[in-house]
Amino acid sequence: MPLQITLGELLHQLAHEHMHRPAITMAESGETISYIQFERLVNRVAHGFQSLPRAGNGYVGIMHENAISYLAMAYALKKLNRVEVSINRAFRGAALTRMINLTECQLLMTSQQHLDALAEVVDDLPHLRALILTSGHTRRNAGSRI
Amino acid sequence: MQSSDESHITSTAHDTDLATIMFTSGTTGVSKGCRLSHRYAVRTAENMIKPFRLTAEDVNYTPYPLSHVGPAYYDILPSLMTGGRVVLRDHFSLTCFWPEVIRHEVTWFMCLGSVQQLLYAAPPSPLERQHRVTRAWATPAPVPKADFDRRFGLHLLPGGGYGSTDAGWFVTPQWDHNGGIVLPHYEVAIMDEHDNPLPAGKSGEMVIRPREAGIMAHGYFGMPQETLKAQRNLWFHTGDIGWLDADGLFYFSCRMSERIRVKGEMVSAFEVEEGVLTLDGIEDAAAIGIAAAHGEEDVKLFVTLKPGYRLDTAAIDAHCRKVMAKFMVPVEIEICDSLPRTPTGKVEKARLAEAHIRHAAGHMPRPSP
Repeated sequence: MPLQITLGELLHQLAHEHMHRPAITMAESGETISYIQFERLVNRVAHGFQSLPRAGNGYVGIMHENAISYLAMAYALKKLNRVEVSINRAFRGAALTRMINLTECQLLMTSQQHLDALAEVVDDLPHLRALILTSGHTRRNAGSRI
Repeated sequence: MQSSDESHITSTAHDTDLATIMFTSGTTGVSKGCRLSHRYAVRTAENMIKPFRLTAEDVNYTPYPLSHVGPAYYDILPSLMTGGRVVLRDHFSLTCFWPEVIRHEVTWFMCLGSVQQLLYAAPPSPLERQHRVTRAWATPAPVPKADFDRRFGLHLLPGGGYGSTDAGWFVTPQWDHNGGIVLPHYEVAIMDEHDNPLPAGKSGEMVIRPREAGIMAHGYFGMPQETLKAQRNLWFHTGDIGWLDADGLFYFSCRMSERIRVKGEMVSAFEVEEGVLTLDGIEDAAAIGIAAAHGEEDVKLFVTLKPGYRLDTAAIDAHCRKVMAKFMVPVEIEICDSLPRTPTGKVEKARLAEAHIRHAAGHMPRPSP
């Protein structure tokens, strides 16, 4: 029987089924997170999103290098019924502007290494209200606003 | 912005609701935002488990950007659904590949873009036989399966499977047969250029439609005209050429945009590339159509050489004449330092075509990535 379940509920079920088994490893650092640790991280991030003011359509852009924190943000949004807009981090200039403006997302999650690309186009992003920088670590996120 | 609250939040969403907007990484035109539901993701991942025989003991290696469906729904989600583990890397690195695959006890991986070719073109290393990988899949797969399997000591699932960001995963590969199985929640047909269905055995454009809600992209965000165009006559048009056999098994031929029309013959760029890659010393190849004097197209081939090899265009031409139909043989061959690629590893043929035009006009001697 094919599953009929949202991704947030699915993760919750899988985390309790597989608990302390390793779920994700970062290839270079070897940093590993178990299913239940990942579920808890996702929940902390989801509650964090909930504490932010929601504006416009509530869509949230993610422009980020591959990291456990990227996945945590993606699944947190699924738990909140908020739409994730995946922004290709290799994009620059007009193509990047088009991707962000098309969906009118007001919040963009990113990291230090994409700030230069964003700075080049920031004047052409009329809908964007806030950027949040992740620290790259799964424990703490540093927030900043533009 | 993390909270200290670790409690689960039960979403009010239905699984057919919009969850993610992912952009198609087309090699031409403007990127389109595919509107994907939770069910799209779950159904895609669910249908990876059986063909790839995934279990809780498996470890997947994914070095592809998370903004694409490949890592998100074909690698990570099926691994989580089976209790397995994912090894995530920020980008593909040839030198790190086997050491990391060994260190993390990887058991399966996908070759996207040119990864299969790059692994095969690399100088042999003892590491490539010291891993625990038992199976892999490649799209595209220009290196012959037997050669790939023998060299790396693993099982490459042959041909068959097909999925895209817009359409979802609707044809799964078989373990030991070239024909792909059309999943029961999709209807697939092969059409001619007027959208008339073609019989079994005939090649044409593959079109599909869902038998279940939410399993394909619910259109392109903010692009109603593009959406309607792709879904004309109530079929989603994949832009890919393939055929179905009498048993309904699917076989992929090439991208429509990868067809080059030479003197009335349809040449598949892939088959030209596949042919030239059998020459020792060729590392990578990309064929494009260029305007021919007689009004149709000619084949132009761009290649890069493996380190330490010295081949000239005459030697490459001679090889092409040996292994290809006469109409497929490139009229122009250019040896480059590297080929321009999208983040998922697809060769950016539009840029090669632009470089060719500039080159023809005498402004630019080489296509630079």
